[in-house]
Amino acid sequence: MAYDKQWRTELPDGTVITRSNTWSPPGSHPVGYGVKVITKNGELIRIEGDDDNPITTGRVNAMNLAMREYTYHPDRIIYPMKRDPKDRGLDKWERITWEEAIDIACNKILEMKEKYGAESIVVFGGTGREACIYYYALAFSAIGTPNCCYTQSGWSCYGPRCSVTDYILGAGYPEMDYAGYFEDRFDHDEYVLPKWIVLWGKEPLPSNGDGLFGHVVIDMMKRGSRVMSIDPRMTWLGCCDGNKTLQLRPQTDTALALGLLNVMIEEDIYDHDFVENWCYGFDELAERAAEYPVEKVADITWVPAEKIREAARLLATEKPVTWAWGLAFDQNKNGVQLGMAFLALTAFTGSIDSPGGITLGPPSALLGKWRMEQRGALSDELWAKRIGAAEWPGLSTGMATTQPDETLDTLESGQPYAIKMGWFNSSNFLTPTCSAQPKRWHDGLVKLEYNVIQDLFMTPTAMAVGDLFLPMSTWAEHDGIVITHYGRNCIFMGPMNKAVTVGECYSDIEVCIAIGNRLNPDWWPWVDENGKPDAEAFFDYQLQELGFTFNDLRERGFYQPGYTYKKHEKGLLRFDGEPGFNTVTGLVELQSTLYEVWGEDSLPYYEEPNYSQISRPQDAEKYPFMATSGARKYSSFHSEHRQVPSLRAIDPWPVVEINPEDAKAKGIATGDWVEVENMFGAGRFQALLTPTILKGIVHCTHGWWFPEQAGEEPNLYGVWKSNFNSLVPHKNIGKLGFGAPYKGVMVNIKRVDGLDG
Amino acid sequence: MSEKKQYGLLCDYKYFSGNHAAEIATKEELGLGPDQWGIKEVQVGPYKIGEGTDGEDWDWIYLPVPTELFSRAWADGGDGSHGDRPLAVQVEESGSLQYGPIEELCKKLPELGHKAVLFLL
Repeated sequence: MAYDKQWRTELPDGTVITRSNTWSPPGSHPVGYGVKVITKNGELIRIEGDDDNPITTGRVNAMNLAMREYTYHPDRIIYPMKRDPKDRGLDKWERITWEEAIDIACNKILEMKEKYGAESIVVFGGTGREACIYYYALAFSAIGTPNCCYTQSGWSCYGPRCSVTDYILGAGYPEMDYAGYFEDRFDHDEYVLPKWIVLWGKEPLPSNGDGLFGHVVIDMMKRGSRVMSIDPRMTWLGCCDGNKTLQLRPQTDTALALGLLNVMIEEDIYDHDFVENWCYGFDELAERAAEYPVEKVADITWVPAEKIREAARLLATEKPVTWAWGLAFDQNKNGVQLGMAFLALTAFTGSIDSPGGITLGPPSALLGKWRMEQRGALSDELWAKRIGAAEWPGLSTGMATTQPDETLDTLESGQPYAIKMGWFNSSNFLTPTCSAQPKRWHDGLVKLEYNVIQDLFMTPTAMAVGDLFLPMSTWAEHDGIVITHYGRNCIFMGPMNKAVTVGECYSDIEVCIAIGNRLNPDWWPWVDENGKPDAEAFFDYQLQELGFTFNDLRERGFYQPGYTYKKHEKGLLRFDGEPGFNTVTGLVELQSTLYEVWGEDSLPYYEEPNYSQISRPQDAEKYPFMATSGARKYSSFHSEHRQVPSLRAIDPWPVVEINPEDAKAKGIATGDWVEVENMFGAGRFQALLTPTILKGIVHCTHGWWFPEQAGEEPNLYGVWKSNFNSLVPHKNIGKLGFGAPYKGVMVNIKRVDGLDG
Repeated sequence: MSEKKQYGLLCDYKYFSGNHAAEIATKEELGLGPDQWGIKEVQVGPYKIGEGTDGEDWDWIYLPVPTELFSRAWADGGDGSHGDRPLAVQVEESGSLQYGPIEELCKKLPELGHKAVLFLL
């Protein structure tokens, strides 16, 4: 088969092969699986791998392989629609043209601005999708509101880790070093294979978080790396020969991190050269860590003392060590402190910016930098109205969004001003994806005057609150750029190349341009001679600083920028060109110079989760289990893919994992329906008995709704039936406004007859 | 006339992660419905075989089982309509599958030096 390396090839039989890189929708984080999209007569035939992609090397995940089922699913929305706001919750949608849709949207925006002020509009954005790059811009420079909201209580995904890194290291997202920057990958002469890969609160094989192709861990294991998993669950990786697990009680990670630091200090096995030359606050941190002797930490975490000592010794002496931190850092009220202690561990093991350690990027670059610059379209007066910014400076300094919990308070109270319009950019957050207490969000949102939905399917959120539905294209249906870590550590970039057209769907950037060009054309000039969005012109603009066009990127196929290690020694991290880190002290801040100003301890400390049997002994008998949630599956990305038959067959129902001893005591067998309940809410899940979870702990899957069920109110595709986020409290967050206990709340479990009844 | 070669599927199942890509790939490649499979993963475990939380203390295995439908398409090297190797072998995320003439795969099996299985298609 003649293919060569051109980005598009047409075979004699009419088959067209388009090389591309995946992102979303449907979501898969900016992993950028290198693929060939096979089409014929304008129809998607299948997705194949691209062997030439240096990172994924032909491999593709199940969700992207099932793209044909997703693309042509009969439930997919492929034309713009409107519905009278009085019919919210009813299936009374009416097809309209894009011209009418854009007219309606722009007129509503102008009406709200005129009547209530621009701040009365909130743009809600989802997670992990390509829209993460664009929804900030849609809010700030297209619509013109300062209120851009990711609704997860405590902003508990990625943002906390990024902000902590910005404050402590003055850098973008630290990622494990898998030689992704180099064209010759693991053979690169400067690269050193890590002896240990620490996966802390992260299961990268199914999750592929933030641009990390999770299976690189297996590529590295095949070459000799070993995995140290720190997780309340034994994962498949943790069960592989040679690997180790510290299996801890949920939400006690910060105590474990302080315990590991303490052992490294007591036994004098930390990296003296790095700590003495490049770190600030060692003595203070040592004093704090001394409050966490191993036996005390073992009591808190349930990890045996000897395992903690062993781990500290292995990680301090068998170098290099690479580190990957996961969502468990964010979904924890004590997570900011965990992030600090984690970064201190990377310093103590000499891992920062060293070969086989962790790589660092600038806080924002390329598309990610452009995204942040969009706030420049707003006046200082309007920017100051951002919800929760003044109350939560520790969050609003690092993040350009609202504080999410404060946003729900404002939605409910109308203070300091009333929210009147919502714009939902690929965020189905009434489903248990991000928001805590989603019924409260629902009740607030249905009172808004107007709501616009951008999505691909009629979701529970869209059915409940939407008035205008803008249909979105998949990654195979539009041009785009995959950029890892949303520009906070750009390990590679790859083009998404439009290969097929379905209905009248637009991409996220096309919607931004359509709205922006109408309302703020100086910031959104990228339209063609007919006034239609010209995405290629936008990407040409974005790639200018690299010296090539979007078409150049297409033909190139993939861009890896290369990497310079130990940038702190070379004056490459600070804006002034001096050696050191881009922090207040110029050093890695083991003790923060910023936190005290924001009312937070300058050193890491452990705090028991507020809704645990220890913190609330009065409820311990009623709710004797700790529930964690959100472990990823190969069959779905948050609430997506539930309607795709081949993927639904893999995971047909929501699941609660229970230790067999606990299940026996409760009379529960695998396959039984179980109600998981606490003082905030309840949900039903099918039992899976497994020894991989500790006695006293349960794990519930997230993102569940049932597209096959009745969609209209009050059922809303069964969105309240298995909604774990109903059990998560509102505003139980850390002092900086970050972190909520999605991975650790007290619950009870009982057998019930089914999903309903 | 030369004898037709027999082909096989080699799985290095120390690293096969149970990621379902091979399952979906064979469905797409062979045009199979929801109740038919070209490759179906089976899971063994997890259960404890030791006392602790080291990898050696646990047994947890996935195996991709090629079906009759897969054999019909690929047992003799395929008819070229799907390329020169099964899509599953390309896309499987842990990179643990190999396809080829059985004699070649027989030589590769001991070179792996750990848990592996060779399916004669």
